[in-house]
Amino acid sequence: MVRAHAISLGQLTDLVGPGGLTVLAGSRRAQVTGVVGLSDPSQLEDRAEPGDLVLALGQPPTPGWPLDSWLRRCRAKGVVAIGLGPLEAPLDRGTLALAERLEVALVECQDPWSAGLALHRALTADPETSAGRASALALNAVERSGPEVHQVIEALSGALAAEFVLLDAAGQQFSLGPDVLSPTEAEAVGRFDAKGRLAIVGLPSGRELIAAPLPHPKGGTLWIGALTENPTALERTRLMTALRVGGLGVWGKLATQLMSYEQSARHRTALLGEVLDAVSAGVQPSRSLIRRSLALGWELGSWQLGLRLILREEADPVVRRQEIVDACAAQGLTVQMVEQVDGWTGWVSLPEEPNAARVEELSASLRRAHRLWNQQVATAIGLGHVRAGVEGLAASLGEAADAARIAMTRPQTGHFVHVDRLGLAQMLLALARTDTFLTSAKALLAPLGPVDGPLSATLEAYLSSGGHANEVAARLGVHRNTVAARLSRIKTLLGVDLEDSETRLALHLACRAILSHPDRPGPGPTWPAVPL
Amino acid sequence: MADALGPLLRRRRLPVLALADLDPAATVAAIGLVGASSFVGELLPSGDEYESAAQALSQYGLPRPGAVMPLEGAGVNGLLTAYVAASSGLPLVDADFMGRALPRLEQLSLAEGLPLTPAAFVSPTGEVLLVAAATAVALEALLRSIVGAWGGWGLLVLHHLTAAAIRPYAIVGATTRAIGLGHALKSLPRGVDGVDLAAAVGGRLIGSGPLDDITRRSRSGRFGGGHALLRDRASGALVRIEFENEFLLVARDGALEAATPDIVLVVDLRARDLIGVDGIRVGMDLAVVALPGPDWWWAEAGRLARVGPAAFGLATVETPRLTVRPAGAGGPGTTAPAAGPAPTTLDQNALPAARPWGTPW
Repeated sequence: MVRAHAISLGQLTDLVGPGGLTVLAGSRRAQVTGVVGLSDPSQLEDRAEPGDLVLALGQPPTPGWPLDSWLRRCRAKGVVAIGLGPLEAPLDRGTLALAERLEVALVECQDPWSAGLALHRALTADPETSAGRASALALNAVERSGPEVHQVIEALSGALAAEFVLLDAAGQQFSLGPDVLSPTEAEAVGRFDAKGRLAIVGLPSGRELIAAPLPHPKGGTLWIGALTENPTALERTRLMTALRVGGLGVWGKLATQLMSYEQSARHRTALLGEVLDAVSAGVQPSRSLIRRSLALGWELGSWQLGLRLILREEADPVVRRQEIVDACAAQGLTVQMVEQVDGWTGWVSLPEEPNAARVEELSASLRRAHRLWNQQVATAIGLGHVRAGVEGLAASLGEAADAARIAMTRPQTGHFVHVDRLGLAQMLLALARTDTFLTSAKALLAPLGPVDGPLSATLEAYLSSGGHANEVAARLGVHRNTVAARLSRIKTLLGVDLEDSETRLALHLACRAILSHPDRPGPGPTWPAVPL
Repeated sequence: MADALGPLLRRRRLPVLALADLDPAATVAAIGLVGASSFVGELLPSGDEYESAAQALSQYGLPRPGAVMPLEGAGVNGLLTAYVAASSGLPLVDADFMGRALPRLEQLSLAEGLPLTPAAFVSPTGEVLLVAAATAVALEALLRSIVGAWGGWGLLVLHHLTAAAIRPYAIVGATTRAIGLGHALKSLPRGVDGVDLAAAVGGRLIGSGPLDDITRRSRSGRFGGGHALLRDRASGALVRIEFENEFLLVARDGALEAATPDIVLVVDLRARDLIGVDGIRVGMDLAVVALPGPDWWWAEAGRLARVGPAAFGLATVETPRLTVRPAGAGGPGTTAPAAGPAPTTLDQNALPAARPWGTPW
């Protein structure tokens, strides 16, 4: 017989089923490569081969010294285990100790025949046939599955009787659908070896994850894995083959999916561009434009709440769009999402003008959805006012874009800003906090010395208090004359006229922008955070 | 027994004869103990047992014996026969019918060709049973059935055997061999190890170390048997000793090392003394030594069948390798003449002072 593979006694125990087989002495890890049934102990020398499990059928050796002697002979023959039928009395200590010492395992089988058959089947299965069958099954599953990646994974699981899963490089489940790995299992998987060609991970649950890398069509590596319990070498080979074939199938689905995503993304982006261009040109969208918009499910005539999402991490808006849409759908929201370079532009269409409570409700739903997708893809989101028609949409999207920019710098609001809740001044300030403006502001105030120096503080306090020197003195805790002296120095240093309203506005914005900038040393802004 | 024999030998010299030196026509009194030797210490011999037996047998008109010979030469049997010889003034024949300890009368070499009857069986309390005719098996069954009721042991005496008749069955040198072994054990230094002990008695060491486990079982129609498990200190090997009321077989890591009729000695290393099946306890520091058994038993396959492991239900799937013996240590046998000058007398110095076999009396 070809001794192609081995099976451990532990695996055999699982094959035979609970209670069917008990290892009385010796290691459960003993590797068996063959099985032979003997109707008489004297057949041992003629029939047993090294690596065999010998089943004592018919007339087993008498427990006691004769069994000891047989153990010794089995050892000499290279036999790794002896299977005995149901025992009438426990074996004596001497025999058990001898089995341990000679490293010949003693196994009690409730039904030696079926144990032998199970072992024989497991051992004689031809690896090539098994691998071929596995690849055919995997191929069939890929071909018959739906267009989505998770459908391929489900089909593979069903066809190969093992749970398949798609994981990212960090070992987190990538495919949609129920969690295949328990939290402790997911933790145990950890990050895959980027250069590895195969990963076999023993999980705390006792299951084993066999995973193969799969290049993502957009770069990076995914891992397709199969979960199995106590696999034999043959079972591993079978699953590895299925993983390879299934992996190709998944790669194909991913690529096709991406291609179609990108096509529709380009289409959406172009269409929205045309709509907004028309609005800004002050012309009504053409009938063709409206028809094409309707084809995408856009209701441009109704009430619109504009959204703008800006990515806070490297991610492909085309690939990740569906996750956002799904998260909103989970909150009962139908949103239109159009890919942008750095995120998405979107809106929620409403059939009639919403009241304040309805807007509040919408905002809360979006906040919940945002919290949901934020775990997958980090974004900042801005919401505009609810406005009517195509023009309203353009305006609301503009507001949303401003709000999103503010949201980028607002971790305290969860990177969520609704323009409804933003004061005009805060809007202005937020808008002024651009890199270009900050650079000019720093240059403007540079002659006053350090940002947290007395002159900057005096100027800021003077402008904030509306030009009241007494109030400045009280706020800074200095004499009124000191304030006057500092102001005259400021005028000289900056070469400005503090009576000029435009100059005052520019200086005030510059002070606020710098003082509230995160780079600024010392304590944070002196004004309270904007309540939202 | 030695306590009784010692003073007697101080008064009288006991001649020990080789069987060949005996007049072929002379009859020999064959004597042996039936029952448990440990009961001899509980119900002491009266000293008149042999005379009672001889008297009972006299009605068959058999000639008065010219010598005494033990059925089994070693242990209590050997001492009992020596006592009878010394007290009755007859010479002791340096031979026996077993050559090792064997439990049953049908395992006497004699039983192969000669009848064991007429025979007299005498209990220490004076009961006498005279058996006119019985096969060895029947006699064994008969005596076993009454010995319990008669005090646990008794003396079996045969008077019908002539020196010429027993010659093909006698295992010569048995007495001197037993004395030699006794001397060797007695001369061992304190703290002796198994290797030196085996060398001193001319045997092969199977293993020495603490006794791990004893399993005793009772079987209907047989003596209680069992097995003991010893772990060899030097190698860690598992030594299994199978016993009935004698040590019968010893295996090391499942490999047969020695089996009856080869001799398995179990020695308490701390006491430097032989120990019997009844005496072994878990934790004892023991040495197991195999000695070659008498060649007589190997001369024919039929003999082995009577006393080999199979006769004790120890049939193995392996052909017993019973002739494994140390080089140069040929066992005593019927054909081998005793090497060197045979001892002609036995005096008190030849006997261990007291309790030579670790028996509590």
